Amino acid sequence: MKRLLAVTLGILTAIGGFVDIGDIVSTSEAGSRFGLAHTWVLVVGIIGICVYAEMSGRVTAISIRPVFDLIRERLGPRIGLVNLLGSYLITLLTLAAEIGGVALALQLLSGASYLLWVPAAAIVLWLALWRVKFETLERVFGLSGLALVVLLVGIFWLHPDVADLKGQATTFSPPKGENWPTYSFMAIALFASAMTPYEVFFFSSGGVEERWTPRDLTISRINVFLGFPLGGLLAFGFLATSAIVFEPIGVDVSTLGQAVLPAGMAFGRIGLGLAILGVFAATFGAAMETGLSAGYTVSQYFGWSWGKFLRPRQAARFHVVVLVSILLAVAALLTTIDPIQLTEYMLIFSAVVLPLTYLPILVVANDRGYLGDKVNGPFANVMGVIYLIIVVAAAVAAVPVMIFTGMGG
Amino acid sequence: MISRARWGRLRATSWAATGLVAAGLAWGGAGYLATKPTDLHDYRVAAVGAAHSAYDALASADLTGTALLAGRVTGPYADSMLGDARDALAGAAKQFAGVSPPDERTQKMRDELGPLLIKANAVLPGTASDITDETLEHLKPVEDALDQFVEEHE
Repeated sequence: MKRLLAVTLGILTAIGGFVDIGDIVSTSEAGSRFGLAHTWVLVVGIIGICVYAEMSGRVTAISIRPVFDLIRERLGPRIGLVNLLGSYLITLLTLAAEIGGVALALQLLSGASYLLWVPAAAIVLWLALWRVKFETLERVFGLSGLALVVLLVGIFWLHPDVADLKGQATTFSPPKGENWPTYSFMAIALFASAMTPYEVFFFSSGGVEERWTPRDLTISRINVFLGFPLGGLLAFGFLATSAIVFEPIGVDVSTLGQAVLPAGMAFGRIGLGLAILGVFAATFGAAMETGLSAGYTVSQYFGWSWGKFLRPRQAARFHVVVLVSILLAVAALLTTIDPIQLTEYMLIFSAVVLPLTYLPILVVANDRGYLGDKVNGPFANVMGVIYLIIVVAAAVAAVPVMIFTGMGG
Repeated sequence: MISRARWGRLRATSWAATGLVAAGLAWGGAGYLATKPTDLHDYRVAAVGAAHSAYDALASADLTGTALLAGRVTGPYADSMLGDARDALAGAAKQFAGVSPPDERTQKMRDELGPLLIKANAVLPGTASDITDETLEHLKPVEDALDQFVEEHE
């Protein structure tokens, strides 16, 4: 049982990374507009995040230090600062979007406006990050997020035309009525959502929180190769159910409510309730990850004490950064900015800063000074370089495609 | 012979000049796009976008209403979906009102879509308790008309 629970870090990271509010809506939108034509992007994203999360986990387990700490030490404070600014801003935007996502899930349950729920969600989030143990958080939210399996099962319950779905999934071009630029825009957004920078920083810092040592290398790898594909599979549930329900009638999904409707259509109120519970857990889990990641990156850059394994008094500056980040996120949301739109922008800007995250990880994972004989082998390096090329291509194309398509409109 | 310090200053100046030119071009481009008069293409894109958003809103409300009557979704969920649909309709109307028809052909489009958007707003149930078989029946013709508008002008 203890071994089984040890993989909850990977499950939480992956559920937060793959099915946060932005992913839910963008994956569902992709399904409603392009059917299953973006399935390959999910697969490419899953492999990519596995490649780099494995490196991060290995670096943490062998050096017993988080990746961001080593990046600053290995590449110097200047490059570390550029990395910090890029990843912190994206993490902050993501945190705002996730708190908005939690509030939207509560709106679906209660009918009351999400703006009323934003302050309450933020207070509960802050209390959880301040008082509750790391392991408890990851187990409760990682495992509750698994309720999203209801959408995967729903694929079969909605009686789709399997041959048609198969045809869509093996198509690598936009369907009739859609064009290449919007197809590419959606592909970049989905890829960026799979590779969001905070995932690797959270995963490696989480490894330190769980006191990984070189003996935990296997646990780290199980977390990566089980957790992330599972997160990707749950994201596929949104893609496929939207492709089944909305694509044939030509409705574009743009809200969280639409994204969970197929669960209600398949299983009634219980299915809908499970899907909303899963969304709540996934977005709350992602809000926790991004809130902690904000504190982790800033504290690790400045060399402050950090982490939930220390008492709040021992890591006061870390907790202040977390609190200030939550307050900034709430302030952004209370301007009434649409959380869904905020996430869509976040995904595109996230694509732009991806190379800042992944190049340093590749460099550190090849440093014998930190990893000894556990540095990247040829296979990890080949995969790392291939993905770095993809990441750079996505970063270069992101903003022009965003402008050209008017945010995929 | 140029000294190293002078070379450094020259390089910094050329970078600054390049940056200023790029910023000027971006500013000019943005200004041109913002003030460019609406043409047939712009109007058509705006009208089709508004019609599509309105269609999405009504079709989603229709699916939700059908699921509510079948007991498959809850009242608060349906209320939330209807709220989203209302917001989407308001956004579509605002988007459509933001562009003026540049010629006769687009005026015809305006005369066709304007009343449809008003009708869409009128037939959308206010709350979950307003959803009945009858209110859902009123949605269908407007959905079809919006869908047809999109197909004709896309």
